[in-house]
Amino acid sequence: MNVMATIDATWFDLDKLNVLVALVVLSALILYFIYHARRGKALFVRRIPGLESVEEAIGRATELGKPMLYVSGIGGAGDVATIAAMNILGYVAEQVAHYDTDLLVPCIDPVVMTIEQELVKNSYTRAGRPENYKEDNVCYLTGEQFPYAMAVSGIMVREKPAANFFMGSFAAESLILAEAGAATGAIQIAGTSAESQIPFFIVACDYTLIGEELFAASAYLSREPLLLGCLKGQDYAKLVIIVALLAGIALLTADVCLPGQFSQWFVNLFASAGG
Amino acid sequence: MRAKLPMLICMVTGALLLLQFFVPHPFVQDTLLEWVSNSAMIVGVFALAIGLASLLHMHGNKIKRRLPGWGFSVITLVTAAFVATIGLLKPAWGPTVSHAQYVQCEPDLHGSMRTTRIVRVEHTLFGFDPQSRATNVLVGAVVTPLRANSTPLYSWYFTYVHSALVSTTFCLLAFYMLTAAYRAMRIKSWEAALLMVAAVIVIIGQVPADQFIPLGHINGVSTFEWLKQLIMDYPNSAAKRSIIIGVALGGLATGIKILTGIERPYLGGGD
Repeated sequence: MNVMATIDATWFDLDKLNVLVALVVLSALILYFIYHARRGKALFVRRIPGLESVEEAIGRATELGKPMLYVSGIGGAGDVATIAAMNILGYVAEQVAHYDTDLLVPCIDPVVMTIEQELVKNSYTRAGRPENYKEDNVCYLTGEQFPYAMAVSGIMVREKPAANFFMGSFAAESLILAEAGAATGAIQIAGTSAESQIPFFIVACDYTLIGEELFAASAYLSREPLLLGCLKGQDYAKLVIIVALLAGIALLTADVCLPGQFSQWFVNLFASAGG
Repeated sequence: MRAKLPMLICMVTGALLLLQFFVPHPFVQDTLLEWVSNSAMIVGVFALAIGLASLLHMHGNKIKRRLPGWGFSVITLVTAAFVATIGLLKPAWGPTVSHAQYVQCEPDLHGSMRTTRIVRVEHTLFGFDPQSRATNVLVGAVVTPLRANSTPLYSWYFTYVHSALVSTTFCLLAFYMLTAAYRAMRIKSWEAALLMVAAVIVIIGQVPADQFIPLGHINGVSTFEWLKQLIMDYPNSAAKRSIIIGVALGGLATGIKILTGIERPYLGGGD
């Protein structure tokens, strides 16, 4: 395959102009609300049951004197869902540190493991319990999907954690993990951006963060104004998308009654370079 | 400085990767992207060593203290050493390996399959030749090895042990799906009833049920198949797309938070 032949020697791909415009508009909205949040404006966030239950899970693990398991998916450190999972891990670790409960964090990626070791260690330090941090609790298992699923299932069966968290990027191993956890009777909270895995988590876990709720978690849990502002910006960006969708539906419907080229022009505005 | 330098590296690298999506110039698509990709590989190799050290430390401790399940740790370490040995050494009892091909089979960062990557990897006594050439490297791409030309012992291990174990694990999904479906379809509410009706229609629509349940045809296909397609194309697609849009916006917002330094999980949560 001659890749070089397909590369155009220009400095901007005009076919991607619509993507750039959308990126600028949506980013501007998010940045605007971050700016507003900096000025101390109070922002409302709806209740997310999956995140409300985090403290319940930690409390249960503490009462039972059992460890907690946190799985941050099979994505690498560059995966945005893994980054979101790391944000939640920081919060969970800080809460756990107060109660002297073990937090097991098995990793599939050594880069993620290194970051999460540091993250958990800092959380314990922030909570004033650095002596409770055990380096072996945040460990590397294997780099492959199914061996990882089996290794984590083994940990669940042997250690019998009272609470399991499955946050991040998941694929076919999601149901293996969630069912193995359900069989041990643990309270389970899951969240993933992989829409094909959400149904599996919904049926096998007690609470599930659906899609964007995973990304909203850090703002929701920390209640930091800057993060809440970002969340608000996301909501307005969604509003823009909804308006565009409604306009498209209206134009295409009108086109059926009064044939014209306008609706097609509107649809083409959102079409990718590949068609 | 301890926090500022990683943040600066993150911002610059993030901006470069964003840039490469819009700029088709060979300098960006080849030189810059290859540099970023090579940097990621170097970091990955060092991290792998840290991962291995973590594995040895954890299992070594378990064995030393005779903690419950220490026998499994022995098996893990012995197996890891065995696989590493047969993977690294050129076997005296097998033919010389000329090359192996690695083919990109997963979407790149943007979810597209626009580039097929072929990497020629020469085998030497201690593994891969550093002169092996990688072309059109894309950051974040997942490569799957084709092991047709591997050493006999490694091939044997891979085919009859590793693949067999992985396939067995994957097969467990069938049983887990059944228990999960049973749990989901217990009719406790009208939503569960709705789910069950939709699931039954989709399951029946997947098989040639019209031979046993003659309900006629709609648009040239059996009624169940037509209903299944209706469910998949409209309510199912609508729900999936709404999740995808939400995830995309969440990803964009997380990207902005990382690039602007509002969120810094890569610093280990520290300031």
